[in-house]
Amino acid sequence: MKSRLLVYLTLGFPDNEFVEDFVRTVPDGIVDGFELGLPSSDPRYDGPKIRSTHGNRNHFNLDKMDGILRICSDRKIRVNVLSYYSDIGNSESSNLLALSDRSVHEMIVPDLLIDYAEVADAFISRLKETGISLIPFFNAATPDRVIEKYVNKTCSWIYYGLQPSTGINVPVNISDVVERAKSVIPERDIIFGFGIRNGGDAMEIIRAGGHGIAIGSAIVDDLARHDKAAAIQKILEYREAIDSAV
Amino acid sequence: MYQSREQDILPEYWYNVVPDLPEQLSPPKDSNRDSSSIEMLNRILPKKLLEQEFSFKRREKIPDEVMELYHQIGRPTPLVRAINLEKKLGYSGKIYFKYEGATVTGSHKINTALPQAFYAANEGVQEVVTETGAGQWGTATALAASLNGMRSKVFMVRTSFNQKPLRKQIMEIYGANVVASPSIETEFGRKTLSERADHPGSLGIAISEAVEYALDRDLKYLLGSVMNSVITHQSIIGLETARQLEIEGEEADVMIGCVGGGSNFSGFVFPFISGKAEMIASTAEEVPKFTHGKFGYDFIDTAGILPQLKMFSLGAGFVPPGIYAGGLRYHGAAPALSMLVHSGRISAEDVGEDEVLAAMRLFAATQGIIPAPESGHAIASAIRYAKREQQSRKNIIVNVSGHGLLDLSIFSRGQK
Ligand SMILES: Cc1ncc(COP(=O)(O)O)c(C=O)c1O
Repeated sequence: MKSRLLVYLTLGFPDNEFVEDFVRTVPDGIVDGFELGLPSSDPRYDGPKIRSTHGNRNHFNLDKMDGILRICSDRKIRVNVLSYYSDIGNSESSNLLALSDRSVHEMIVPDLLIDYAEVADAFISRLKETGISLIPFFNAATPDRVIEKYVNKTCSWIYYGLQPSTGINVPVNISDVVERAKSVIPERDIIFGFGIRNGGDAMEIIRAGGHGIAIGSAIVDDLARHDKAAAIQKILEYREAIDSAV
Repeated sequence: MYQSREQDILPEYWYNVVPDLPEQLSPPKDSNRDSSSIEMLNRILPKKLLEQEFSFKRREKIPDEVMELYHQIGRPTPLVRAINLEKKLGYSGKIYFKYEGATVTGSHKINTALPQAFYAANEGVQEVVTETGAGQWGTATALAASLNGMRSKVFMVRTSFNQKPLRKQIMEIYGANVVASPSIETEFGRKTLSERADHPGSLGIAISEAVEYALDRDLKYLLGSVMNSVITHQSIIGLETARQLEIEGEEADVMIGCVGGGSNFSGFVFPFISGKAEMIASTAEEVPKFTHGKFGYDFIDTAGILPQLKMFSLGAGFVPPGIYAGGLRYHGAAPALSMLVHSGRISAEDVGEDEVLAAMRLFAATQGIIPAPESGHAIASAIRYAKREQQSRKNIIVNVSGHGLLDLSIFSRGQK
């Protein structure tokens, strides 16, 4: 099976029109899904690159997603939303419904199992009621029994972070991390993200058995400059890397 | 009962508890918006150490070179049944102590200093920097650096610097350059001194100085406690203990150790975490991090250069009283240990100076060993337990993290 490539974009960065234009222009067959980050007041598990994209929270509302979602739907590119529990956890169910009504059915909540473990079960149920499934977000620090518990409570693919936050460069032994993830979660697809630095990392993930990768920080500088071509070029390079790994 | 079947006792792997924790460990938190203080660790820590810090492998192979050094400095350390103490207390069960004071530097600190220095030397580093409170960590760093062909620089908390000239001398014999902290050698030290010229210093301040010094000169910084990789190295204490108990045909019912940053305690008990043993962390009444501290994110160091960790803390600005047990003065405690105390798996108790000194005297009188005052807390807690449950037949296992031969002055100032 072809390895999957997900691309993370913070909604509203650098501006909404650019994001729309970007998802429209990415060539066919390259990106399997967009992961859309809702601007957060405290993107605590993001590294400095992605954190710098979270500045537009006050100017953001869900209506602004509509154009992007329509394009993705037309192009048959999957979409999931990344939001912090600290932002969305206490919001009205109507906000979750508003996402679901927009055909967003998968959500990543990076702080849920780390900082809000005690309310995680209830939140997963709330999401389910609105038609959204939680994509469990684990990383190398997630204990086996926590992984097993949330794998059992969900049915989607798994998002697995390589680094303690995105886009930072602490040395991680990628093969070790991927192998452990696979041994604890043998039956589900695992996409690795949070800190993939280059094509070499991407290849190593796929070679060690990862089902796909998610990139974000790698294109932030290009997006900040409104340089669509450069960002797309980088995405193509990652695509090539993971395709050539198998 | 000194055991000499070294090969049988020394493990081949260190144990990292993180995959076996009940809950997810909160990652270190960046403090700055534009640059990453986590990434900054790249500049000051050996790469291999960072990899261990963030990869969370359950079993980490001990490099052959480090294994050889472990033999050289006296590992495995003995597990001794404290029969005389048992009798004196009238305790019906057994009391064993793991004696980390038997290493050549006199404490458990060498267990992590050796691999850290080895990794730094492998990266071509010529000099390593660190801080020390009681002096045990500085001593371990000084020796580990020289065994790996490097120089060392040690920022020593001023109260200890003044109280423990012999510690300073030993570090210097091992080749270290030792300065009192706060010092005039760093900006943070100068700033601290300008606010209070007679500042007694704290571990948090000394860490800040050491890190600044390393950053300014492109040197590697060695970590004495708190970080998870350090605790992984210290698991050698518990892994050896497990094997020694197995050889004895005994099991651990109660495990007791003292907590400064949490490294000796965690290294001792974590290999037993999936079992049933009761675990008690003994802290100083003057630094009651578990009983009076807050569980949340706080800085490792006072200047806030290093990332924040989620842990029990009395506040990074906490300046402890100049207590007898310098190694217990740290404001926080390792995240994994903090979590397990928070969840109730590990219980904590504070012990005061008089009780500790009495326990040290009793231990010396019955077992012949003068323990480090830090370890005195563990012994005092064990004695409490044995007195409280005199009729129980439980095996109490105590980690005696170091000897106190360089701390004798506390007997003349403390005990009435
Ligand atoms: C002999 C001894 N025991 C215990 C400690 C406390 O540190 P930790 O809790 O990291 O083991 C120290 C620290 O200096 C020490 O020297």
